[in-house]
Amino acid sequence: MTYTLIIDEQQTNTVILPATIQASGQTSAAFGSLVAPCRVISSPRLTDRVIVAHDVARCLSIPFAADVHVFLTDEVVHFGPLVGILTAGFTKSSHRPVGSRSFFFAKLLAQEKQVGGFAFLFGAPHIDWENGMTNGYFYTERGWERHTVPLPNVVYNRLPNRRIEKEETFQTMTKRLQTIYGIPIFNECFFNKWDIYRRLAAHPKAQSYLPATSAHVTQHTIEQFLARYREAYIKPADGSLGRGIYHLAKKNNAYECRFRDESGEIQTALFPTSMAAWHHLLAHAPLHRYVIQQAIPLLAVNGRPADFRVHVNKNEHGIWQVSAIAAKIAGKQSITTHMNSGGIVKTLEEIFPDAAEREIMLVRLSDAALTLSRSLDEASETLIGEIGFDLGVDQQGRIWMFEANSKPGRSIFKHPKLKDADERTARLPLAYAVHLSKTAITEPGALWPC
Amino acid sequence: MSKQRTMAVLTEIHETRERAAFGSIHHFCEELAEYARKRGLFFYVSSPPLYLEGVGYQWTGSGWDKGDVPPADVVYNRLHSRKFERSPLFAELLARLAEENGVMFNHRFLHKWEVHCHFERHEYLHPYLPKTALWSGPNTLEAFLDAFPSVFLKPIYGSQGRGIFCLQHSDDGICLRHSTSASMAVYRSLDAFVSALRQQIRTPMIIQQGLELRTLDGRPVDFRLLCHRVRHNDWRVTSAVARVAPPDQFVANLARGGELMAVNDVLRTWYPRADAFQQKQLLKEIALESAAVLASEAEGLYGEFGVDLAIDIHGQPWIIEVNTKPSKQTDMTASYQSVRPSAKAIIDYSLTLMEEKE
Repeated sequence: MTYTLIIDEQQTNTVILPATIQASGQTSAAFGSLVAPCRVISSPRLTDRVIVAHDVARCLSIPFAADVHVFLTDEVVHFGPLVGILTAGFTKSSHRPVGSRSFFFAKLLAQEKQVGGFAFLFGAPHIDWENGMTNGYFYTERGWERHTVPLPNVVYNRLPNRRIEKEETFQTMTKRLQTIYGIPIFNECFFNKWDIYRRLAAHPKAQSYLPATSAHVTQHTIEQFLARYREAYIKPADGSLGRGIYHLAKKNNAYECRFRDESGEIQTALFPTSMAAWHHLLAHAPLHRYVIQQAIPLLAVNGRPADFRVHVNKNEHGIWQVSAIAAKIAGKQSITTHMNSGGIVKTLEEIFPDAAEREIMLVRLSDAALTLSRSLDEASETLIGEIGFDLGVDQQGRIWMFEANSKPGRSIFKHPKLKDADERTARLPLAYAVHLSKTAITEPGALWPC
Repeated sequence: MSKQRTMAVLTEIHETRERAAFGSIHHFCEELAEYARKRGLFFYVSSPPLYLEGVGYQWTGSGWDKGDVPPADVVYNRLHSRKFERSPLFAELLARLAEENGVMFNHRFLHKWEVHCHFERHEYLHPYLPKTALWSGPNTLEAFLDAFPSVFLKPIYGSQGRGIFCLQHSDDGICLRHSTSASMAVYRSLDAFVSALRQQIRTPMIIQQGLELRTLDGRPVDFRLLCHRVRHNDWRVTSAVARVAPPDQFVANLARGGELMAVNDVLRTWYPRADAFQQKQLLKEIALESAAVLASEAEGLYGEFGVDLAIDIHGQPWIIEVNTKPSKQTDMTASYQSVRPSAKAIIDYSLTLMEEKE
């Protein structure tokens, strides 16, 4: 439950909690990484409010009054949590701090009211390591506001791309936050296709959802995959948005290769042998960064292949839940179902008008996504709070996983029927951040196993 | 061969013996017709009674010919009478469209209070929404006058800046200005104003926080951004202009004598280049968010909105209002072209709707 935090101008050196919060002998208050000694008293007259004396609030750098959670340890009353959303690409404009992504983050931060606590946007240059403080952008009723606050209880990584994530600045920064301050970071990195495949393939429950995949893209493996599966995809292990994907198929005695050229046009090339395909197209691609994957003949909607984006999030209890499902129908002649290649988004209601059929599909997709996310979570050393899966259903009804994204795109949520899912998927990372903060404060051992 | 794709504009038609006139969108319809032909669309203009009889006007290249027309796949609603939208004839029209599997966009006129309520549900838009309440009596008005330096009273069905009151506390009581008459009056007390007001207003009004707008030579400026829908529920800004209020007026609507200026020119007189760029982007983004929110909240289908924005003296942008039947007078972005971007956008969106149906 949340409490309205009130900053009291008369009182000094005191915090007052409602009697329903069973405080016993706490001697200080904390906000993010800051702790201030103070008197902690209970009042039966307060029910849904906590009162913080103005000097304590100033000492803790609480930026404004808001709805907060209260977590207790033996000595300390924690208000918050303070949740830092890490990103990059800040502008000098106070009204548009992260350029064209400002509204994306405004929508995310606006969910804070439903969840409680303080969420803010920050980047590597905003941290003041000397004082253990950071500058942060808060989104309030008045718009974007900058405040200096303690280091957060939890960091949610929303760095925009792999290149920035790999930069030295961010690597050292995240390491320092974790090791020196014990701040948990979730969705710490973009997924690599081969890494994900390897981890899931080792998991008995997840295995069956995986199309055959190899990180050794050679003339030999191509030959093997085509002989066994007739069709295969070759895709960059670190790619996103369906860029740089080749589709290979063995047709009669020819090899067909489809791909998008530099201008985005789909090209189809036919070769008499796989050797010819290899020499003309693939030998020059940086194949050490590619994987080859068995192509699955997908369920078709109106004659076009369809797959599913299943969005899963950890919720306020730290439990995985399915937060959105949408179908993506491939564009005419397209290689993939990505929207930038003409794909369109449909709801399950739209593509399965029959309620019974829809229910079966919903259950099977949800089961698959939850099994996969739990398996991935178990096999991962870092904290994961959300995943966007691309799942396919083949013509026999079997479910396959093609991709797992740690920073899933939000373009499916432009569909008017996915409005609730849009809000849910924006709210859940903050709800999970509250759970994670609570765990880090009250049972840190659970988070940092020896 | 597949059926010929057909699109109709529905508007009020004034027929005389010599010609038919389509009111404020007459010339715009010619542009729509020209571009529709280029895109291989069968296009006509009709009115609800004519449409129900299967009659419409087709563009010949030099004039409009009246004749029998097929039902439309897509209808662009440019009816300007709100009363008509509540009439049995309109209900009959909707029923006919549904029966013939036709799609209509810009479903109906959205009034100011309705628009505000849709926005209010989206917390991330709050920083850009002036505080607004439905007029229910002097108490709310008093609270607004205490909270803000000036307060506006606007008829919820008003357009083109008509019938707006601006109220301010002054030494002698309440100072009142009116957008249409450009007169000024001073009332001793709020009660005196309210009883005078009760005589004057017959339509529902909203009370809105007055803003300290950034001005040009003391004249308030607002921005009209025309937004059109494209595929995937995406929206695009097709034209943007600044409107500068005439001297001694507090609204910048063209109908009230406002003057058009390029957005860049206005922003560059106010800000250094980098800030002007950020402000322009922000205006566009707010307009697009507004359009997307309204389209998803309001019942029916929308493909076009005119979003009015303004910037206050602190550089904060505000959503002033949204028009469901935006005037085309502001789309001057390409006056050298025969077909304005807004006409192209309407036709392109209609084609998208047809493709989605197929």
